[in-house]
Amino acid sequence: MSRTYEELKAGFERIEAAQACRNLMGKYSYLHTAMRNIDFMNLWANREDDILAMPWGYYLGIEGVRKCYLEDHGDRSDPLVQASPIFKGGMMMHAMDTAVVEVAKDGKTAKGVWLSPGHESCYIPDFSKFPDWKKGDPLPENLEIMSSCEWAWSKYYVDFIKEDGEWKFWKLRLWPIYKTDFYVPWTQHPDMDEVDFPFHNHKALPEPNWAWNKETVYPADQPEPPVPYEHYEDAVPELWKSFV
Amino acid sequence: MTEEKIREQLEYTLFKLEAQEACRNLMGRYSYYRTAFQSKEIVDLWAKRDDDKLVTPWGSYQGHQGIEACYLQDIGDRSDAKVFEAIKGAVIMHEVDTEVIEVAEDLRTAKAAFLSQGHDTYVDRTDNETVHAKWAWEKYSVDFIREDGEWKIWHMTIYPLFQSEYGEGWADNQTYVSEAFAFQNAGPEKTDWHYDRNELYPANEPAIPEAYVTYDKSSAE
Repeated sequence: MSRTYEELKAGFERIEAAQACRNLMGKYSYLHTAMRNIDFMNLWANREDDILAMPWGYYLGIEGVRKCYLEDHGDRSDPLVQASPIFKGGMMMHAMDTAVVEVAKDGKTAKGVWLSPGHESCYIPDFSKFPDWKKGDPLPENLEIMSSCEWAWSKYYVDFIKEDGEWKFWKLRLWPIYKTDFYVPWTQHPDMDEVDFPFHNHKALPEPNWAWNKETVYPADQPEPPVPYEHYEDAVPELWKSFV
Repeated sequence: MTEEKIREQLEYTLFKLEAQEACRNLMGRYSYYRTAFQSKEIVDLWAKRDDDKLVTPWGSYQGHQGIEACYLQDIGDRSDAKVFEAIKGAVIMHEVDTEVIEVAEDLRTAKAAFLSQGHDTYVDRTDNETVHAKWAWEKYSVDFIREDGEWKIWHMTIYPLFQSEYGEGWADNQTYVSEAFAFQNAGPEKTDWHYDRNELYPANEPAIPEAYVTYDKSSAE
């Protein structure tokens, strides 16, 4: 006990930072479900070293983040999204829980992990049959559109950074846990593949996503809960080394 | 109020907030380590005390030695070659949410309750490699204690809610702990509530923490 006013101020700021990071994850979830991707851009640090790693590939820099959310996905205000038979009927909901948040002692960055129980509903074709399709392209004729109601549980590792006095997303890795049709146990569902997604601006993942298999041991480092740290530059997660 | 008094009050408030963060993080770490069978790391989350207590749906463990027996012997750590072989195909994921955390006014302990939605996937190698994919929801009552300046888990009770195979209604399955697992070090005390259409849901599992002064004395007193 007996901390100075300066130490107390730093302590309160770290508490505020932890809540700001939890709020960012909450906002991400709500905005994503509503396809409010323009708003989502405001949550990211405007930096060239941003990393956004998704189950289908990864994006670098704020320009990469923009391409993911505004080109590959598209905002709900985008006429191509509004006219798309793929995006209409879409309801992707990823709740957030099981948070571990560590704010750097220097108050400049934070690290967090979350688990996410979720579900995805949409009307989609089998994209693997025409891998070049992208948002705005006409759908092939005689295409079978399937109703899809899936459990989609996932997990997140996130680095946050304080930019101009405001906490922002800096680096985010999203791993799938299970994505399985409502009627099919996750142990009987085929692995997720990059061609399951109609996106084109990403780089290929450095290694395939973990997928359940009866002979595979669940990975210990996906994600690794953060531990207390002083400065980010002395505690850069190993995770990011392969996203270059 | 003197400046020192204001500083003391600020410090007290900050300490409480930091304690809540620490308890929340402890539960998160517990969840991630449990899924990955990082059982050594789980043991480190516990206070090194003789009055530690863990009560589970399969039995109970007393003292820090009991905690070690649970996590390092009955469950096992992934660094053990036999365990590593046995946990192929196992994903025991119990998420943590719906928290209520109260830190004691004396700042020495904290009490909390959590809900957990989860799933257990495993291969029963005692039964022809049968694959199980189950929903597994439960609830936690946890006491935390500050030990050498660090918050630790002190007491934990895991209340089963339901466990059912994918596609099976949870009201149709009253078994929470599979017979595929042996917990040789567990004591007889256990939590064994299960859904029954003729029973009222229990009122205090988990107990909802109220503000309190010391571990044995409530604020209302």
